[in-house]
Amino acid sequence: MTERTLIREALDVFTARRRARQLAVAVGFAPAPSLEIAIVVSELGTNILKYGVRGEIVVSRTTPPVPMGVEVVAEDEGPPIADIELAVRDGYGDRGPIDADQWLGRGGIGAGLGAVIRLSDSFEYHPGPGKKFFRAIRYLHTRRVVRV
Amino acid sequence: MIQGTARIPIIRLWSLLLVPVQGELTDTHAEQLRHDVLAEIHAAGSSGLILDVTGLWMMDSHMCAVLTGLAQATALMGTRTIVCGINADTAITIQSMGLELRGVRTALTLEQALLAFGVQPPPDGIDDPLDEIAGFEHST
Repeated sequence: MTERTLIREALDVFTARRRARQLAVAVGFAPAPSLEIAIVVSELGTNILKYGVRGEIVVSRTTPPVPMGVEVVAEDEGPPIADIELAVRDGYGDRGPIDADQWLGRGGIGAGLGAVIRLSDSFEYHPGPGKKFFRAIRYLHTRRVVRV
Repeated sequence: MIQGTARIPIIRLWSLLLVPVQGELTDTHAEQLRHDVLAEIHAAGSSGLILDVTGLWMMDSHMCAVLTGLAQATALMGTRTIVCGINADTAITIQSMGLELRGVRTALTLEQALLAFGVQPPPDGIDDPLDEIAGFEHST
């Protein structure tokens, strides 16, 4: 059970997050967590559009020995994030605070990665070389282990 | 399949504007919506704006930023904004994401948003409001 979506424009993000929700429901998630998995995909997909190069989102059902759940991998060929610790803080990009006046211009408030982490049970960032990717997992039953 | 191409209606209700936010909004659509709403407020001299998000199946940080930005822009024009129609799942999600609709007033339902702007509900006991209109004939 795998859904692969190339992210080239906003409509692709919409497609990816709809597919993610459907897959989550199929795996057995209730409506609320399925919605949260869709939001994880939405945030990671939007990040690819804004900062990434040639990216894709792959959503799949986890396979043993990983506990049952949904895994979201967001991969692109853009440069690695300069400061991941900073980037996951709300209201920050990877190079410092985000000016509130630029909210609409950025189409976000710099809360994307922070939201992904809060909505996931497991979160990993793998920088380059050549490709970087994020992996977020939401487990059906067990509780969270977050690693940055 | 819903595409991000639907134009969002802007409805005049006396001195208020009602915008049923729905579908999937790209940045372009969000910018277009902001432009249209602000232009309409300017043209109509609206005293209040209601953003009804009942038609949104999800709100991510991007959508929160669009709504907050719109509310802040209308505030600069002296117009209050109330967001209504956030369902339970979405409310929980916004909270678990650590997001907030900063400075945005919210109401549970469209009715409560209208009440907050001083709109009165119709009196009880009218079976068909059209009966009250002199000279109106039902077509069957």
